[in-house]
Amino acid sequence: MQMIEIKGLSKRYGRHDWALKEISLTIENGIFGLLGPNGAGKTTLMRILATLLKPTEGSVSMNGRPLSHPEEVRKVIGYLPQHFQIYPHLTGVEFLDYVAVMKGIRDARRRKAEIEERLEQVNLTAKAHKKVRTYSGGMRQRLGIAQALLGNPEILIVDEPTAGLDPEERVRIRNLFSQFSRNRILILSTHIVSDIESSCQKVGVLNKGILKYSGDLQQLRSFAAGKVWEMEIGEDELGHFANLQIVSTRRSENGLICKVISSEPPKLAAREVSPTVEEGYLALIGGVRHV
Amino acid sequence: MYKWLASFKLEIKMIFTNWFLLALPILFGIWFALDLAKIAPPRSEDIYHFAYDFHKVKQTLSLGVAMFLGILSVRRDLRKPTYDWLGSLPVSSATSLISKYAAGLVYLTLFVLAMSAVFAWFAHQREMTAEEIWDYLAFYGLQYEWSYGVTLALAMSLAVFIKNRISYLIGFCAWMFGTFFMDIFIISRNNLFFLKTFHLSQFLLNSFMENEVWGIRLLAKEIWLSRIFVIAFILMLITIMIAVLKGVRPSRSYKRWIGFSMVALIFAGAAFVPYGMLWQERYHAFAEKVKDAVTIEDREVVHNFPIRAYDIEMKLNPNGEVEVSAILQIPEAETRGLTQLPFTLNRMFRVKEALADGQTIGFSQKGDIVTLDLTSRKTPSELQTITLRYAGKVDDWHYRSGLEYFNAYADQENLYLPAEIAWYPLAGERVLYINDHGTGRYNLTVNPLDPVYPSDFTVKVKGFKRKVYSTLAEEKISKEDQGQQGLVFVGEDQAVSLYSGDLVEVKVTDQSTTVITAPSNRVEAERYLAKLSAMKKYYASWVEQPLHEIDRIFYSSPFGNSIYEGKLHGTQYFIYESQFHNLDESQIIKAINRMLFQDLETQVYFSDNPEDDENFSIVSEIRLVFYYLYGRDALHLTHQETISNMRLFWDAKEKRFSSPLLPNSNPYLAQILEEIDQAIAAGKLEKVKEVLNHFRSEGLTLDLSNPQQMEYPRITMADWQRVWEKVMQQ
Repeated sequence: MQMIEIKGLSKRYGRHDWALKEISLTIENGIFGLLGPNGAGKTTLMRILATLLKPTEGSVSMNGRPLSHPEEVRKVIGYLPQHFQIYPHLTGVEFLDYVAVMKGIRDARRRKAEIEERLEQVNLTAKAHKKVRTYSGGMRQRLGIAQALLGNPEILIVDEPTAGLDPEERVRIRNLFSQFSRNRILILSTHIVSDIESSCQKVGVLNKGILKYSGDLQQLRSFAAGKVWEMEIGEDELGHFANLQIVSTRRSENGLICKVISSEPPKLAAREVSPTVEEGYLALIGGVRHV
Repeated sequence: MYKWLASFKLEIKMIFTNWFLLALPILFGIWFALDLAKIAPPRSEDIYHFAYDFHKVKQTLSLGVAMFLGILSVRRDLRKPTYDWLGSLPVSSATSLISKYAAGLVYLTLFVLAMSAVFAWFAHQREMTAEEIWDYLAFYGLQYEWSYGVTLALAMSLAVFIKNRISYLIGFCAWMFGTFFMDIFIISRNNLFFLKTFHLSQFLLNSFMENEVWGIRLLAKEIWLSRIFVIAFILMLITIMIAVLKGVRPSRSYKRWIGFSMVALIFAGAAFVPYGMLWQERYHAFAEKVKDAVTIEDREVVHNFPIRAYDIEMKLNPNGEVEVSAILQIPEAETRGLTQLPFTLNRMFRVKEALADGQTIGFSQKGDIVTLDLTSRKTPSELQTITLRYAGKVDDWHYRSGLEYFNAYADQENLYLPAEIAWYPLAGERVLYINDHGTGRYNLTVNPLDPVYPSDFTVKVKGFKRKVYSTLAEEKISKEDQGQQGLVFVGEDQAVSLYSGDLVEVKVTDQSTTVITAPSNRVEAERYLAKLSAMKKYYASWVEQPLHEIDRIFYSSPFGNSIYEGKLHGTQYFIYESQFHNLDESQIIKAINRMLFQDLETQVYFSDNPEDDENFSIVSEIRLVFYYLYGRDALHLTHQETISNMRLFWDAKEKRFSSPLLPNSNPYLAQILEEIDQAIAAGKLEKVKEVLNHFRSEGLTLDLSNPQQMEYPRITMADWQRVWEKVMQQ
């Protein structure tokens, strides 16, 4: 069983600016989703786990390797940062070959075979020998995923991996991650709740540096149970509900159908609906507003 | 190691797939080639000087590439959030950083290769030998590598220490400050020469390195000590950079690298010590000389006396010390009744023993003055023999107005001992250094040796690897004897100077004159000798009294060496080398003047004022006729061609003469030339030569050494006409 144990992890910038505060978390095999609004501390946590940042306090053990031994941890992780750039003069194959060598794959034949496999997995075989500068943003992102997967890392840390990918590629990558995470840990940080919903077994929610929730998706959803309402209103009425947490609107024959998170029905005609993960997440971080 | 190699290959690829960066070394080589291609008369043709000129400005400019590349290579990925994936790889920051540094240095070596290829080609064209070319290239190449090495390390440090892109601007400022600004406004202006090692370019704008014969060699120790420090400094920067990166990106070895940085810092400090001590010694010796320096008005010689003969034996010991035994013959009358006898001997030497007529006597040495105690001597012989034995390391460095000089130097490869430095005992108490401003700080010059009685010199020199030259004539002895007693120089003179170094002897067949010069001047010297030979042959064919020989012409850079004063010394002639002229027509005229008239004067007329009976003379006009005749007779030019081309030889390519040799405006010359033209037309060329021979036998020498009392033959037009008519009527 693979396991990441995070105990009392904090990161402070400057004197008083806490990016993370006392995070304690255990992550086991499978895909662990990390959700949180901008500035919640997701990237800081990912960078700490990727051994790029030193925590101010706390400890992390990654498959038994403490983070205080970063050189050891680097041998078992793959990492894709949120914003990803590659040397434009290299071809995809050259770039992956470089990364493979850096990951300690010395045997050239083994390297070649694995690179071909990864390129196939991210659907880049046809562009393998083209310079990276000719790649689209999505292609670069997929190449980034390929480099993270090289060397079959025990732990994969990916920050916003599907940003910029078209739906088809997104599905492909999701499947790839699912396949990868069978006996390993994959930590996925994203804004896209549907990615989490479709791939993650466990999820953590960060807000303002504090771990608000850690558990399964069902439980996250339950944060909004009995608080999600659907109602039909006229277009000119929308302004009256500005103080409510409207999570979605769609047009109807008579105006707009809005979904609202609220502790009470916002309108007599409002109908309670079962919450989604996104609504559970919004209810958790946004709090539930009152009418 | 394989990770390092892969990282290195990646960095190389990054650089070598950038067309802009690739083009720069090629453009640099072309720039150098264009500079060297400009070398042509009438300017100096000394390729060393022009190459140094290029290095000191353009190589310094090329350091901008090193600065840019260093910052770029770090900022490209090491400190960029979008390259965070690189930081998660199991690769040490040291691997990444060192591979970047190595790749940068490999790229910058292309500039060295471009420079080397261009220099080798042009030097080969100038007939420099492979060994000479290699010597210069090894020096230039190492200086280049060190310059690039330290600049690259500094640039990378800036990028590592300063995350913001302002590091580019700071890098630009560091480049300018660490080169031209530091050179001009800190080092030269304040005479802080020990700061040279901090100069990013290892070529300074005003450097003794520009002296081809001695520069590189005399500065060799300083340069190597500086290089050791610079290497240590580079190591220190690299170690600190790695420590900083290990701090930014968590590493277990962070504290270890902090420790390494401390060690590297101490190592760099220790590496500065020998370099600093060298400078401490130089400044200390300089300060001592300043103490005894006087103003030019106070430079009198106390108790000057004649020395009949010197018998000097000098040898260089394996420990680098010069050991001298000087036996002086002094008429007894000169020391009669004296209790003390003063000599001047440079303080570089320590007197070990003094003898009078073979008997040990007491002496004292203070500064540059050695005083013999005559009270303990026996009754002196009629020609008293004084023997002084002394030894010392010869390395007399000093500075003046932001420039460094070596007044004297001696090691196995180099010897520079001008008489005025008192390397042998000079009669009386003299000051060796003059302080121009009396402040005793920055304007120290060597006191010219004056006045001195002539003496018979015998100087034996041993222990030097290269051929030693002297202002005295070299005695021809067998090689066997040379091996035993060294070279022997003899002759009567007022003083004797010795020198040796990277000099070549240039000769042409059927020419007894040798040009001794730096290797870069070989082609120039050969062409000069060929022209000189042609003229010499012409005059030798008809002048009645034999030509005065010039055995050796020394042609070298005067940088700091007062021996090269453009003057005659016995059968030797010293020519200043300058970038602004070369061994051109004026130098040929001077040499021919020396052969025909025993002086070097040109363009001095005494016929400006016909009313001045006392000073009027057409001696210069008559001297010019000798050259006119060379044009008409030897080169078969017409009158107009000879006049208009103002040259002594026909060369369509060299349309130049420094100033008119045969001025059109001179009425006396015009009249004389008209008569000569008529005589030539009448087939009386031999008669013309007879007239010229007559005046030459009467004497046409000018002695203008004392402007108040110039000595020259007073010849009037009537004198000329009288001789002319007499000879023509015969």
